[in-house]
Amino acid sequence: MNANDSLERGIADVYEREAPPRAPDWVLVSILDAIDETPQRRGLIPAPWRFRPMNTFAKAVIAAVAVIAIGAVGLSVLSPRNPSNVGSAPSTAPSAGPSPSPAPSTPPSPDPSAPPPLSSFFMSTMHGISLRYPAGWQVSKATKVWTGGALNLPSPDIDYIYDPTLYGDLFLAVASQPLAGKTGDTWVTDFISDPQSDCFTDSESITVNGAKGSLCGTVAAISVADRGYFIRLYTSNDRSWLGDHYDQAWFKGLLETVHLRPSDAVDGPGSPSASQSS
Amino acid sequence: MQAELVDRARRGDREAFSVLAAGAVDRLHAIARLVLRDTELAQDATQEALVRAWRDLPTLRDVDRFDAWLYRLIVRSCADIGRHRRRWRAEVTILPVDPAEPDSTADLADRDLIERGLRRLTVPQQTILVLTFYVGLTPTEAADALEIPVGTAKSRLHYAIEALRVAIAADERTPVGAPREGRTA
Repeated sequence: MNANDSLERGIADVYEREAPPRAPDWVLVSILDAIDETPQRRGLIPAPWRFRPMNTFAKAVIAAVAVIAIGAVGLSVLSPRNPSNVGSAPSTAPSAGPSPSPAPSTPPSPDPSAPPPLSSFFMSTMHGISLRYPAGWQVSKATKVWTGGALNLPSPDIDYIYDPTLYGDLFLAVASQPLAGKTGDTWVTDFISDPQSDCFTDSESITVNGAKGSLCGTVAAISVADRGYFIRLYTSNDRSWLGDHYDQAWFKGLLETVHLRPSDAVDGPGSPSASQSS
Repeated sequence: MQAELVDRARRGDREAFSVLAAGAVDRLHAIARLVLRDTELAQDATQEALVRAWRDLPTLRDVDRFDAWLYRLIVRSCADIGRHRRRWRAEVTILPVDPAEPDSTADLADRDLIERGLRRLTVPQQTILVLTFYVGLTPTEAADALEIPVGTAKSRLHYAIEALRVAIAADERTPVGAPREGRTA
Protein backbone atom coordinates (compact mmCIF):
# COMPACT_ATOMS: atom_id res chain seq x y z
CA MET A 1 0.00 0.00 0.00
CA ASN A 2 1.50 3.38 -0.93
CA ALA A 3 1.06 6.72 0.78
CA ASN A 4 -1.77 7.74 -1.50
CA ASP A 5 -3.73 4.60 -0.72
CA SER A 6 -3.14 5.11 2.98
CA LEU A 7 -4.22 8.72 2.91
CA GLU A 8 -7.30 8.01 0.81
CA ARG A 9 -8.34 5.18 3.07
CA GLY A 10 -7.80 7.47 6.04
CA ILE A 11 -10.05 10.12 4.49
CA ALA A 12 -12.78 7.55 3.89
CA ASP A 13 -12.46 6.30 7.47
CA VAL A 14 -12.72 9.79 8.88
CA TYR A 15 -15.81 10.48 6.79
CA GLU A 16 -17.48 7.26 7.85
CA ARG A 17 -16.80 8.11 11.46
CA GLU A 18 -17.92 11.73 11.22
CA ALA A 19 -20.99 11.40 9.02
CA PRO A 20 -24.19 11.80 11.02
CA PRO A 21 -26.36 8.72 10.44
CA ARG A 22 -29.58 10.70 10.47
CA ALA A 23 -30.80 14.21 9.99
CA PRO A 24 -32.90 15.55 12.87
CA ASP A 25 -36.58 14.72 12.37
CA TRP A 26 -37.58 18.36 12.23
CA VAL A 27 -35.49 18.88 9.11
CA LEU A 28 -37.77 16.62 7.05
CA VAL A 29 -40.91 18.02 8.65
CA SER A 30 -39.71 21.53 7.92
CA ILE A 31 -39.04 20.60 4.29
CA LEU A 32 -42.53 19.18 3.92
CA ASP A 33 -43.93 22.35 5.45
CA ALA A 34 -41.94 24.42 3.03
CA ILE A 35 -43.04 22.57 -0.09
CA ASP A 36 -46.66 23.16 0.87
CA GLU A 37 -45.91 26.82 0.44
CA THR A 38 -43.67 26.45 -2.58
CA PRO A 39 -45.07 26.30 -6.11
CA GLN A 40 -43.24 24.27 -8.68
CA ARG A 41 -41.62 25.93 -11.61
CA ARG A 42 -43.22 25.48 -14.96
CA GLY A 43 -41.36 22.71 -16.67
CA LEU A 44 -41.47 20.13 -19.34
CA ILE A 45 -44.37 18.20 -17.90
CA PRO A 46 -47.84 19.71 -17.95
CA ALA A 47 -49.57 19.18 -14.63
CA PRO A 48 -52.89 17.47 -15.33
CA TRP A 49 -54.12 17.92 -11.80
CA ARG A 50 -53.28 19.68 -8.61
CA PHE A 51 -52.85 18.15 -5.21
CA ARG A 52 -54.15 19.83 -2.15
CA PRO A 53 -51.64 20.88 0.50
CA MET A 54 -51.29 18.38 3.31
CA ASN A 55 -51.90 19.16 6.91
CA THR A 56 -49.23 18.52 9.51
CA PHE A 57 -50.72 15.23 10.66
CA ALA A 58 -50.78 13.94 7.11
CA LYS A 59 -47.15 14.90 6.70
CA ALA A 60 -46.16 13.00 9.81
CA VAL A 61 -48.09 9.95 8.67
CA ILE A 62 -46.66 10.10 5.18
CA ALA A 63 -43.15 10.55 6.50
CA ALA A 64 -43.63 7.52 8.74
CA VAL A 65 -45.07 5.42 5.93
CA ALA A 66 -42.30 6.56 3.64
CA VAL A 67 -39.62 5.53 6.08
CA ILE A 68 -41.19 2.14 6.67
CA ALA A 69 -41.76 1.54 2.98
CA ILE A 70 -38.27 2.49 2.11
CA GLY A 71 -36.86 0.19 4.74
CA ALA A 72 -39.13 -2.62 3.63
CA VAL A 73 -38.27 -2.55 -0.01
CA GLY A 74 -34.66 -1.65 0.53
CA LEU A 75 -34.90 1.46 -1.53
CA SER A 76 -31.44 2.82 -0.97
CA VAL A 77 -31.79 6.24 -2.42
CA LEU A 78 -28.37 7.86 -2.66
CA SER A 79 -26.80 5.26 -0.47
CA PRO A 80 -24.03 3.43 -2.27
CA ARG A 81 -22.39 2.28 0.93
CA ASN A 82 -24.97 2.45 3.64
CA PRO A 83 -28.34 1.26 2.47
CA SER A 84 -30.11 1.77 5.76
CA ASN A 85 -29.79 5.50 5.87
CA VAL A 86 -33.37 6.23 6.73
CA GLY A 87 -34.48 6.30 10.30
CA SER A 88 -37.77 6.30 12.04
CA ALA A 89 -40.60 8.65 11.40
CA PRO A 90 -40.48 12.21 12.55
CA SER A 91 -41.83 12.47 16.03
CA THR A 92 -41.47 16.13 16.77
CA ALA A 93 -43.57 17.87 14.18
CA PRO A 94 -43.96 21.53 14.94
CA SER A 95 -47.36 22.46 16.16
CA ALA A 96 -49.67 23.43 13.39
CA GLY A 97 -51.32 26.18 15.32
CA PRO A 98 -54.79 27.44 14.67
CA SER A 99 -55.80 29.00 11.41
CA PRO A 100 -55.02 32.67 11.14
CA SER A 101 -57.70 34.72 12.77
CA PRO A 102 -58.05 38.46 12.45
CA ALA A 103 -58.83 38.83 16.11
CA PRO A 104 -57.40 36.49 18.71
CA SER A 105 -60.08 35.15 20.98
CA THR A 106 -57.80 34.74 23.96
CA PRO A 107 -56.46 37.67 25.93
CA PRO A 108 -52.74 38.33 25.76
CA SER A 109 -50.71 36.43 28.24
CA PRO A 110 -48.94 38.68 30.71
CA ASP A 111 -46.10 36.25 31.09
CA PRO A 112 -45.32 34.71 27.73
CA SER A 113 -42.79 31.97 27.40
CA ALA A 114 -39.48 32.52 25.71
CA PRO A 115 -39.45 32.60 21.91
CA PRO A 116 -39.57 29.17 20.29
CA PRO A 117 -36.38 27.91 18.69
CA LEU A 118 -35.61 28.98 15.14
CA SER A 119 -36.18 25.51 13.82
CA SER A 120 -38.58 26.10 10.95
CA PHE A 121 -37.29 26.90 7.51
CA PHE A 122 -38.69 29.22 4.90
CA MET A 123 -37.48 29.82 1.39
CA SER A 124 -39.13 32.62 -0.52
CA THR A 125 -39.35 31.83 -4.18
CA MET A 126 -40.84 35.25 -4.81
CA HIS A 127 -38.12 37.27 -3.14
CA GLY A 128 -35.06 35.04 -3.30
CA ILE A 129 -34.25 34.61 0.36
CA SER A 130 -34.31 31.85 2.95
CA LEU A 131 -34.26 32.01 6.71
CA ARG A 132 -35.21 30.15 9.83
CA TYR A 133 -38.18 31.21 11.88
CA PRO A 134 -39.70 30.18 15.21
CA ALA A 135 -41.32 26.78 15.46
CA GLY A 136 -45.09 26.98 15.33
CA TRP A 137 -45.26 30.21 13.37
CA GLN A 138 -47.08 30.26 10.06
CA VAL A 139 -46.22 31.64 6.66
CA SER A 140 -48.27 33.75 4.32
CA LYS A 141 -46.33 33.79 1.08
CA ALA A 142 -46.10 36.72 -1.26
CA THR A 143 -47.95 36.24 -4.51
CA LYS A 144 -46.83 39.42 -6.23
CA VAL A 145 -43.50 41.12 -6.74
CA TRP A 146 -42.79 43.95 -4.34
CA THR A 147 -42.42 47.30 -6.02
CA GLY A 148 -41.88 49.28 -2.86
CA GLY A 149 -44.25 51.57 -1.16
CA ALA A 150 -46.51 50.82 1.73
CA LEU A 151 -45.61 48.03 4.08
CA ASN A 152 -49.13 47.51 5.35
CA LEU A 153 -49.71 43.91 6.30
CA PRO A 154 -50.86 41.47 5.31
CA SER A 155 -49.85 42.43 1.83
CA PRO A 156 -49.72 40.14 -1.21
CA ASP A 157 -46.29 41.40 -2.19
CA ILE A 158 -44.60 40.61 1.11
CA ASP A 159 -43.73 37.30 2.72
CA TYR A 160 -45.29 37.34 6.11
CA ILE A 161 -44.31 34.95 8.91
CA TYR A 162 -46.35 35.26 12.05
CA ASP A 163 -47.25 33.79 15.37
CA PRO A 164 -50.80 32.50 14.76
CA THR A 165 -51.75 33.14 18.37
CA LEU A 166 -50.75 36.78 18.10
CA TYR A 167 -51.88 37.51 14.59
CA GLY A 168 -50.93 41.02 13.59
CA ASP A 169 -49.04 41.70 16.78
CA LEU A 170 -45.93 39.64 16.18
CA PHE A 171 -44.57 38.90 12.74
CA LEU A 172 -41.68 38.96 10.37
CA ALA A 173 -42.01 40.66 7.00
CA VAL A 174 -39.64 39.97 4.12
CA ALA A 175 -39.44 41.34 0.61
CA SER A 176 -36.96 42.35 -2.05
CA GLN A 177 -36.83 44.24 -5.29
CA PRO A 178 -34.30 45.11 -8.00
CA LEU A 179 -32.14 48.14 -7.26
CA ALA A 180 -33.44 49.70 -10.46
CA GLY A 181 -30.38 51.77 -11.18
CA LYS A 182 -29.58 52.71 -7.61
CA THR A 183 -26.40 51.69 -5.89
CA GLY A 184 -26.83 49.22 -3.06
CA ASP A 185 -25.88 51.82 -0.47
CA THR A 186 -28.35 54.30 -1.86
CA TRP A 187 -31.15 51.76 -1.88
CA VAL A 188 -30.47 50.85 1.74
CA THR A 189 -30.26 54.48 2.83
CA ASP A 190 -33.44 55.37 0.98
CA PHE A 191 -35.30 52.47 2.51
CA ILE A 192 -34.19 53.17 6.05
CA SER A 193 -34.95 56.88 5.77
CA ASP A 194 -38.42 56.26 4.36
CA PRO A 195 -40.97 57.04 7.10
CA GLN A 196 -42.88 53.92 6.12
CA SER A 197 -39.96 51.84 7.36
CA ASP A 198 -40.80 52.88 10.91
CA CYS A 199 -37.17 53.62 11.60
CA PHE A 200 -37.11 56.18 14.35
CA THR A 201 -33.78 55.39 15.96
CA ASP A 202 -30.17 55.47 14.87
CA SER A 203 -29.19 52.79 12.45
CA GLU A 204 -26.06 50.68 12.47
CA SER A 205 -24.15 48.88 9.77
CA ILE A 206 -24.69 45.15 9.55
CA THR A 207 -23.58 42.27 7.42
CA VAL A 208 -26.15 39.63 6.54
CA ASN A 209 -24.98 36.54 4.69
CA GLY A 210 -21.94 38.48 3.54
CA ALA A 211 -23.97 41.42 2.23
CA LYS A 212 -23.80 44.90 3.72
CA GLY A 213 -26.80 46.72 5.00
CA SER A 214 -28.27 48.78 7.75
CA LEU A 215 -30.13 47.83 10.91
CA CYS A 216 -32.54 50.21 12.57
CA GLY A 217 -34.26 48.76 15.60
CA THR A 218 -35.68 45.55 14.20
CA VAL A 219 -35.77 46.63 10.58
CA ALA A 220 -32.93 45.48 8.34
CA ALA A 221 -32.20 46.66 4.82
CA ILE A 222 -29.55 44.87 2.81
CA SER A 223 -28.33 44.97 -0.75
CA VAL A 224 -26.59 42.25 -2.68
CA ALA A 225 -25.81 42.07 -6.36
CA ASP A 226 -28.53 44.12 -8.02
CA ARG A 227 -31.18 43.56 -5.38
CA GLY A 228 -32.36 45.22 -2.20
CA TYR A 229 -33.94 43.32 0.69
CA PHE A 230 -35.79 44.28 3.79
CA ILE A 231 -36.49 42.08 6.77
CA ARG A 232 -38.60 43.40 9.56
CA LEU A 233 -39.60 42.11 12.95
CA TYR A 234 -42.77 43.75 14.17
CA THR A 235 -43.94 43.67 17.76
CA SER A 236 -47.08 45.50 18.70
CA ASN A 237 -46.89 48.22 21.31
CA ASP A 238 -50.23 46.93 22.53
CA ARG A 239 -48.38 43.94 23.89
CA SER A 240 -45.32 45.64 25.18
CA TRP A 241 -43.99 42.49 26.77
CA LEU A 242 -43.34 41.12 23.28
CA GLY A 243 -40.49 43.54 22.86
CA ASP A 244 -38.79 42.13 25.93
CA HIS A 245 -38.44 38.75 24.29
CA TYR A 246 -38.35 39.64 20.62
CA ASP A 247 -35.76 42.37 20.85
CA GLN A 248 -32.95 43.45 18.58
CA ALA A 249 -30.61 40.78 19.95
CA TRP A 250 -33.16 38.11 19.03
CA PHE A 251 -33.59 39.69 15.62
CA LYS A 252 -29.85 39.68 15.02
CA GLY A 253 -29.83 35.97 15.80
CA LEU A 254 -32.52 35.45 13.19
CA LEU A 255 -30.54 37.48 10.65
CA GLU A 256 -27.68 35.04 11.07
CA THR A 257 -29.88 32.35 9.54
CA VAL A 258 -30.64 34.39 6.44
CA HIS A 259 -29.35 33.35 3.04
CA LEU A 260 -29.80 35.81 0.22
CA ARG A 261 -30.53 34.33 -3.19
CA PRO A 262 -31.04 37.21 -5.61
CA SER A 263 -30.93 34.91 -8.63
CA ASP A 264 -33.86 32.92 -7.22
CA ALA A 265 -36.21 35.90 -7.01
CA VAL A 266 -39.08 35.88 -9.44
CA ASP A 267 -37.90 39.05 -11.10
CA GLY A 268 -34.23 38.21 -10.59
CA PRO A 269 -31.73 37.22 -13.28
CA GLY A 270 -32.40 33.52 -12.70
CA SER A 271 -36.15 33.81 -12.86
CA PRO A 272 -38.40 30.76 -12.92
CA SER A 273 -38.54 28.78 -16.11
CA ALA A 274 -35.14 30.13 -17.03
CA SER A 275 -33.30 27.17 -15.57
CA GLN A 276 -33.25 23.83 -17.22
CA SER A 277 -32.12 20.66 -15.56
CA SER A 278 -30.57 17.52 -16.87
CA MET B 1 -40.50 2.43 -8.02
CA GLN B 2 -38.32 5.49 -7.58
CA ALA B 3 -38.78 6.56 -11.19
CA GLU B 4 -42.53 6.37 -10.75
CA LEU B 5 -42.33 8.50 -7.60
CA VAL B 6 -40.15 11.05 -9.36
CA ASP B 7 -42.55 11.20 -12.26
CA ARG B 8 -45.49 11.74 -9.93
CA ALA B 9 -43.60 14.33 -7.91
CA ARG B 10 -42.60 16.36 -10.92
CA ARG B 11 -46.27 16.51 -11.88
CA GLY B 12 -47.01 18.12 -8.54
CA ASP B 13 -47.69 15.14 -6.27
CA ARG B 14 -46.49 16.26 -2.84
CA GLU B 15 -46.99 12.86 -1.27
CA ALA B 16 -44.70 11.25 -3.81
CA PHE B 17 -42.11 13.91 -3.16
CA SER B 18 -42.42 13.31 0.59
CA VAL B 19 -41.39 9.70 0.07
CA LEU B 20 -38.43 10.76 -2.05
CA ALA B 21 -37.41 13.41 0.46
CA ALA B 22 -37.64 10.95 3.36
CA GLY B 23 -35.35 8.59 1.49
CA ALA B 24 -32.79 11.23 0.61
CA VAL B 25 -32.69 13.58 3.58
CA ASP B 26 -30.27 11.62 5.75
CA ARG B 27 -27.78 11.07 2.98
CA LEU B 28 -27.88 14.68 1.80
CA HIS B 29 -27.54 15.90 5.36
CA ALA B 30 -24.49 13.71 5.90
CA ILE B 31 -22.88 15.03 2.74
CA ALA B 32 -23.57 18.63 3.71
CA ARG B 33 -22.25 18.04 7.22
CA LEU B 34 -19.00 16.62 5.90
CA VAL B 35 -18.55 19.36 3.32
CA LEU B 36 -19.47 22.31 5.54
CA ARG B 37 -18.25 20.78 8.80
CA ASP B 38 -21.02 22.55 10.65
CA THR B 39 -24.25 20.95 11.83
CA GLU B 40 -26.56 23.95 11.53
CA LEU B 41 -25.26 24.98 8.14
CA ALA B 42 -25.67 21.39 6.99
CA GLN B 43 -29.31 21.43 8.06
CA ASP B 44 -29.86 24.65 6.12
CA ALA B 45 -28.15 23.25 3.05
CA THR B 46 -30.23 20.07 3.20
CA GLN B 47 -33.46 22.02 3.48
CA GLU B 48 -32.53 24.33 0.66
CA ALA B 49 -31.53 21.48 -1.61
CA LEU B 50 -34.75 19.54 -1.11
CA VAL B 51 -37.03 22.57 -1.34
CA ARG B 52 -35.26 23.50 -4.57
CA ALA B 53 -35.66 19.93 -5.72
CA TRP B 54 -39.40 20.21 -5.26
CA ARG B 55 -39.55 23.59 -6.94
CA ASP B 56 -37.42 22.65 -9.94
CA LEU B 57 -38.47 19.03 -10.34
CA PRO B 58 -40.70 19.73 -13.36
CA THR B 59 -37.57 20.76 -15.25
CA LEU B 60 -35.87 17.40 -14.68
CA ARG B 61 -35.81 15.71 -18.07
CA ASP B 62 -34.78 12.19 -17.10
CA VAL B 63 -36.40 10.66 -14.01
CA ASP B 64 -33.61 8.10 -13.80
CA ARG B 65 -31.16 10.89 -13.10
CA PHE B 66 -32.93 12.01 -9.96
CA ASP B 67 -30.16 10.85 -7.61
CA ALA B 68 -27.43 12.53 -9.62
CA TRP B 69 -29.54 15.66 -9.79
CA LEU B 70 -29.94 15.70 -6.01
CA TYR B 71 -26.18 15.57 -5.68
CA ARG B 72 -25.99 18.64 -7.87
CA LEU B 73 -28.48 20.45 -5.70
CA ILE B 74 -26.76 19.65 -2.42
CA VAL B 75 -23.42 20.65 -3.90
CA ARG B 76 -24.91 23.96 -5.04
CA SER B 77 -26.46 24.61 -1.64
CA CYS B 78 -23.21 23.83 0.15
CA ALA B 79 -21.33 26.11 -2.23
CA ASP B 80 -23.81 28.94 -1.69
CA ILE B 81 -23.76 28.61 2.05
CA GLY B 82 -20.04 27.99 2.26
CA ARG B 83 -19.30 31.07 0.19
CA HIS B 84 -20.43 33.43 2.87
CA ARG B 85 -19.93 31.56 6.07
CA ARG B 86 -17.65 32.96 8.70
CA ARG B 87 -15.76 29.95 9.76
CA TRP B 88 -12.27 28.72 10.29
CA ARG B 89 -10.64 28.99 6.93
CA ALA B 90 -7.50 27.52 5.62
CA GLU B 91 -4.74 29.50 4.06
CA VAL B 92 -3.14 26.46 2.55
CA THR B 93 -0.52 26.89 -0.08
CA ILE B 94 0.11 24.03 -2.41
CA LEU B 95 3.76 23.16 -2.07
CA PRO B 96 5.65 20.88 -4.40
CA VAL B 97 6.25 17.50 -2.84
CA ASP B 98 9.75 16.20 -3.26
CA PRO B 99 9.37 12.54 -4.22
CA ALA B 100 12.80 11.78 -2.77
CA GLU B 101 11.78 13.02 0.62
CA PRO B 102 10.12 10.51 2.92
CA ASP B 103 6.39 11.13 2.92
CA SER B 104 5.30 12.08 6.39
CA THR B 105 1.79 10.83 5.60
CA ALA B 106 2.95 7.37 4.70
CA ASP B 107 1.68 6.01 7.94
CA LEU B 108 -1.59 7.67 8.79
CA ALA B 109 -2.68 5.76 11.82
CA ASP B 110 -3.59 9.00 13.51
CA ARG B 111 -6.96 9.88 11.97
CA ASP B 112 -7.05 13.03 14.04
CA LEU B 113 -4.38 14.47 11.82
CA ILE B 114 -6.56 13.90 8.79
CA GLU B 115 -9.59 15.30 10.54
CA ARG B 116 -7.70 18.46 11.45
CA GLY B 117 -6.28 18.68 7.97
CA LEU B 118 -9.73 18.43 6.42
CA ARG B 119 -10.88 21.41 8.46
CA ARG B 120 -8.31 23.54 6.67
CA LEU B 121 -9.57 22.81 3.19
CA THR B 122 -11.87 25.02 1.18
CA VAL B 123 -15.47 24.06 0.47
CA PRO B 124 -14.71 23.07 -3.16
CA GLN B 125 -11.87 20.87 -1.94
CA GLN B 126 -14.05 19.34 0.75
CA THR B 127 -16.77 18.73 -1.79
CA ILE B 128 -14.69 16.75 -4.25
CA LEU B 129 -13.23 14.67 -1.41
CA VAL B 130 -16.64 13.91 0.07
CA LEU B 131 -18.13 12.97 -3.28
CA THR B 132 -15.20 10.70 -4.00
CA PHE B 133 -14.37 9.10 -0.68
CA TYR B 134 -17.71 9.19 1.14
CA VAL B 135 -20.35 8.97 -1.56
CA GLY B 136 -18.12 6.85 -3.75
CA LEU B 137 -18.70 8.65 -7.03
CA THR B 138 -16.43 8.09 -9.98
CA PRO B 139 -14.62 11.13 -11.42
CA THR B 140 -17.23 11.29 -14.16
CA GLU B 141 -20.09 11.20 -11.69
CA ALA B 142 -18.41 13.74 -9.42
CA ALA B 143 -17.85 16.03 -12.39
CA ASP B 144 -21.54 15.77 -13.18
CA ALA B 145 -22.50 16.66 -9.61
CA LEU B 146 -20.09 19.57 -9.62
CA GLU B 147 -21.14 20.65 -13.10
CA ILE B 148 -17.54 20.84 -14.27
CA PRO B 149 -15.55 18.93 -16.91
CA VAL B 150 -14.18 15.54 -15.94
CA GLY B 151 -10.61 16.74 -16.34
CA THR B 152 -11.26 19.62 -13.98
CA ALA B 153 -12.77 17.25 -11.44
CA LYS B 154 -9.72 15.00 -11.58
CA SER B 155 -7.44 17.97 -11.20
CA ARG B 156 -9.46 19.34 -8.30
CA LEU B 157 -9.31 15.99 -6.57
CA HIS B 158 -5.55 15.82 -7.05
CA TYR B 159 -5.01 19.27 -5.60
CA ALA B 160 -7.43 18.65 -2.74
CA ILE B 161 -5.44 15.61 -1.70
CA GLU B 162 -2.19 17.54 -2.04
CA ALA B 163 -3.64 20.39 0.03
CA LEU B 164 -4.64 17.91 2.69
CA ARG B 165 -1.21 16.37 2.63
CA VAL B 166 0.42 19.78 3.10
CA ALA B 167 -2.02 20.68 5.88
CA ILE B 168 -1.23 17.45 7.69
CA ALA B 169 2.49 17.98 7.31
CA ALA B 170 2.18 21.52 8.63
CA ASP B 171 0.09 20.29 11.53
CA GLU B 172 2.67 17.71 12.45
CA ARG B 173 5.34 20.40 12.59
CA THR B 174 3.24 22.69 14.82
CA PRO B 175 4.49 22.64 18.42
CA VAL B 176 2.03 21.46 21.01
CA GLY B 177 0.04 24.38 22.37
CA ALA B 178 0.64 26.61 19.38
CA PRO B 179 -2.38 27.83 17.45
CA ARG B 180 -3.14 25.55 14.55
CA GLU B 181 -5.52 27.70 12.61
CA GLY B 182 -6.16 31.37 12.03
CA ARG B 183 -9.54 32.99 12.15
CA THR B 184 -10.05 35.14 9.10
CA ALA B 185 -13.69 36.15 9.44
